[in-house]
Parts: sequence; C-alpha cells; structure tokens
Amino acid sequence: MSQAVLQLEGVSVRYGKRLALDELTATVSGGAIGLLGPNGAGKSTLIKALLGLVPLAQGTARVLGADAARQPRRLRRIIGYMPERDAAFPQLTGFQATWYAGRLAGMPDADARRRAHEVLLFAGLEEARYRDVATYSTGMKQRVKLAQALVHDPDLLFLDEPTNGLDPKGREEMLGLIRTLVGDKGMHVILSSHLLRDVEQVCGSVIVLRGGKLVSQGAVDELRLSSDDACTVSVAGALPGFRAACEARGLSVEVARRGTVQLRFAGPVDASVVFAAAAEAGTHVSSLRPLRVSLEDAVLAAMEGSEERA
Amino acid sequence: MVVHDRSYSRWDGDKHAPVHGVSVILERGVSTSLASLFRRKLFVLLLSFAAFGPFLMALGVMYLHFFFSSNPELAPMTQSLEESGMLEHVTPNPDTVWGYLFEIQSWFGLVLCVLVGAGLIAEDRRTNALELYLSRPLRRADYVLGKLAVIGFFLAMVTLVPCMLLIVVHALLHGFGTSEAVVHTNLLWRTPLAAGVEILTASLLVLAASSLAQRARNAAILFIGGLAVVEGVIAGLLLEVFRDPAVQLASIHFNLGQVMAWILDNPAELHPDVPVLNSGLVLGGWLLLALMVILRRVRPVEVVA
Repeated sequence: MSQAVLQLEGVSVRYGKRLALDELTATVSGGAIGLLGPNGAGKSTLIKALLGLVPLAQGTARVLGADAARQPRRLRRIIGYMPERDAAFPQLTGFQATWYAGRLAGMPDADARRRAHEVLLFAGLEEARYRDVATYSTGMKQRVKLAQALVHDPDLLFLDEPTNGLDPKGREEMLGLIRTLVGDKGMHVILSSHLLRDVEQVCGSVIVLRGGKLVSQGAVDELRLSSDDACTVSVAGALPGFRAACEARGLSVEVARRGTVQLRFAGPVDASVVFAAAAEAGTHVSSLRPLRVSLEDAVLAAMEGSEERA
Repeated sequence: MVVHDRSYSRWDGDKHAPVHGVSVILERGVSTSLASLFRRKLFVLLLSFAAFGPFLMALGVMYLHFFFSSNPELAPMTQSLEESGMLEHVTPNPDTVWGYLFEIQSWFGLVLCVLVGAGLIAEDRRTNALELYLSRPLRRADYVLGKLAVIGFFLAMVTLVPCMLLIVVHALLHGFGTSEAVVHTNLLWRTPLAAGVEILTASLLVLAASSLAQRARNAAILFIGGLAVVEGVIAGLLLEVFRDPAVQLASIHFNLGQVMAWILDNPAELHPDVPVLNSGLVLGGWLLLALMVILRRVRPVEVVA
C-alpha cells in the first residue's frame, strides 16, 4: 500500500484564544489534493501547521510519513511552498531569488544555478529572469513563487491560492503547469483555493474545511455524486405524463432538459418505482443514472449539512 | 538555433545533505549590501578613505620608523620621527586600540549600521520574505545568526580588521622578543574580544530596530532615535538631575566603553565609581532585550489574536 501523503489525527491550532483548526482528522493519499473552503476556513493555517510554521495545540500531523511538529526541517527539504500573499526576497532578480531559494533548501551552488534556470523556463519566465522581482507583474510574481517552490524538486508541493490575481489566460497556464507536475512528473500537490473550478480542474480528491472544522473529504468524483436519494432519468415519450406518474408516487421531479428529469426520492433510489411510473405514463426509460452535481453544489451541500449538524 | 527544454525535470541531488543556512544568508547578504553600497560610489569612496585612512597612515609611520631605525645613516630621521610624538599615537597598546575601536571607528560602524543593518530584517518584513525563509529547512536562529553575520562582517571590516592589521604588522616589524611582546600577545586576543563585544552590541541593537520596522529608512530612524533617547535624554537627564556617576549605567555607550576598557586592560578609561561588573550586567541586559525583540518579531506568521 502506498504511503499516505497526509495523516491528520485530532489536529487543532490556536491563534491566541481563537481556535483556527478544530480537531481535524483525515487521511489523504497521493496526487493532487484540493483544500477547499471559504475565506477564514483554516486552509492556510493547515498548510502552515503542516510546514511546522505554527505549532499544533493538539493532535498529530504526519506528512509523507514524517511528524510535522517534530521533524519540520526534514520535511521542508522535501516540501515546496508557494505562499498566498506576495512574497519575494528583496533586491533580487527572478534568477537570483530562485537560486537563493534553492541554496536555502540545501542545494549545492552549481545545482541551484542550473535548477533555477530550468524551473524559471518551466514557469515561463525565460525572458524576465534577470529583472528585479519588484518590477514583475502579478502573474509573473505568482510564477516566480512557483519556481522558488519547485527549485529543490520537492516531493510534495503546497500551493496556497496559486491563481490569485491572475487573468483567465494566466490562470489557465498556472493550472496547466500544476497538471503537468501532477500528471507527468508524479509530484504530490496540495492546492488550497476558494475557487472550486480550479480545484475541479486539477485535483483528484478534496478536503473541505469550514470554520476550522473538516466538513467533507474524499475523491472529487465521489463528492460530485449526490447522496443515494436522487437520480437523472431520460425518457422517450410524453414527459408530462411521466412527471405526473412520478409525483403521484411521492417523488420530487425537476425537469433538467428536454426528455430528462431529476428525481429525488424520500429514501434511497428505487428503480422499480421509476419503471412503474414510466409504464403507467406509456413511456419508456432510456437511461437512469445517479445524479451528478458540480463540485460547487456538492461542497455547498456539504457545508450546509455541517451547519445544520452544528 | 538553441532549443530550450521547457518541461519539468527532476533533480537527483541529495535531499538530506546538511543545510548551511547561516553561511548562505551571510554570502547573499554581503553581496547584496555591497551592491547596494556601491550604487553610492562617491559616498563609499569617502567613507572608505575616512575609515581606513588613519590606519594606512599609522602603518606608513610604523614602517618608516622601522626602515629608518634599521639604517644607521638615517638615524637623524629616526630621531625626528620619535620626537614628533607620532609614534605614540600609532603604536598599538591598550589605550590606542581602545581609542581606535571605541572612539574613532565606532562612528563608521554607526554609518554602516544605518546603511546596511537597518534594512536587513525590515526589508524582509516589507516583502514578506520571512515566510519564504522560514518555510525552508532553516531555524529562526539560523536566520537571525545569518543576519547578525552580515552586519557583523561590515562592522568588523571597519573595526576589528584594521586594528588587528596594525597589531600584527607592528609585532612583525618589531618582533616578539621585545619588551612589547607581552602587550602584543595580550592584544592579539584582547582586541578581537573587545571588538566582538562592540560588534555584537551594535549588530543586535540595529537588528532589533530593523525587526520593528517594515522599511530600512524607518528602522534607521528608530535606531538613531532610540540611541539618542537612551543616551541623550534618559542617561543625560538622569546625570543632570542626580549628579551621581552611577546613573551613567543607563547609557549603552558608557557601559560598552567600560566593558571594552576592561577587556583591553586599559584602566585609564574605567570609571572609578562605577564597577565594570555592573556595566557588564546592564549591557548584557540590553543585548538580551534586543535579542528577545528580534526573536519575537522574526516569525513566519504574524498572529493577531
């Protein structure tokens, strides 16, 4: 069995009296993992806790098998971190800043120089690498932060809101770079974002936080399947009659598009009820599948659920 | 045509080799600060001339005296040089070394503190670079030591290095077999120690000011302003009001001078009414306070609870 990328057991973090993370327990395997939640949910705090930058009030966090609280320096050798806010080493060019980041990560001078050029090319900063980072546009600053996070070739990459401030083209390019790292190079990536579309495009699994608590966790495909009480049905024949027959059986019916309805049951989906309704209406069912929702709807539903439980 | 490979390639180096964060920060800090200083070419030229001029002159006088005295036919010139009194001012002894370190070169150290030291942490805070540093395999102590080493390097260049050069050259010219041998031998370890205390004091104080600001200019104002308040207002006012030499303990400058005079074995500069132990304790307290300020401000995450 492959090693879990993250293992959280009752992780809590406090900022003074405020509880920023509240007893998070989760285990996440490799690939691209999305960290979702509204502003203030605790996404950045979780990343900082995993890097050992903020102390845990309680619990244990293991990253790639190492204890984040006890071995933070060992972990930071194999983790790359792209912070959310603007961050740059002052008075350095893009190349110098990336080389310096590599040196600080323990790379020999010659390797750090070579790698700095390589990752700057990868990040698309070939032309601008000898310019002072202070003169860069927002998109270029995001790219140089990515290059600095990659220069020491980490096994795990933390990206905190990497598409912040990017125009649509820049955003697509940034997501493309991340996809390359995950898909072609086998790097593990934890992508923190409040933009669900970004996560949906890149990540295979997600952790959803709200108010420092774990709301939901799992594969994106699983989350997009609604609970087992709804399905999408396509029928050939008169839709109004089928709708009436379904409603007569106590189902909630919503017309999705021509010839397709979404049915919600009081309990688990029962296909025989659907076929019976179709027979009564003189139509026949051409497809019946579990209801798929967008990640946004799934996350919103999970958050609403957590609110109701609270 | 050059074709660049834009794809990402893995690095097969050793990811568990030891990290020498302090030396990396020192190396980068010195080169960045030198580049920044040399943008003001005329100013740096004048500063270097003023800082190293007296030492070059002293070395010249020492060499001329050695040259004249080793040629019997130049005896009159030797005599006139000795009668001029110049030799007394350039010959290394506890008093001249204390004077060089504490009274003359400290001014150049102050200028370097403002030009180099003030921005060391403040600029990192302004550009959020602390988060970048501390998300690497570095401890806070590595970062602080690295920054201390940067300002320490520049301060040593105008204090310790020229003084040691003077002592070593004098010892080489006159040999260790003379009556000055004991003095020289003592100065060879006392001078680095005294200069070390001076450099550490200035470095910690300017880094504390730097850690409290988010721009080099503000840190410089804080540093100079803080020194002016402590030295001029608090210590000066207390002395005026109480007329008691003991209140001079409030002055960092006074305590530093006492401690350095004691290390250099220069009793002429020790205040008879103020024990050097007290000065040492007060100075140690200031340094501890400065270190606590730095460690409190150098954090990857600013907690506003």
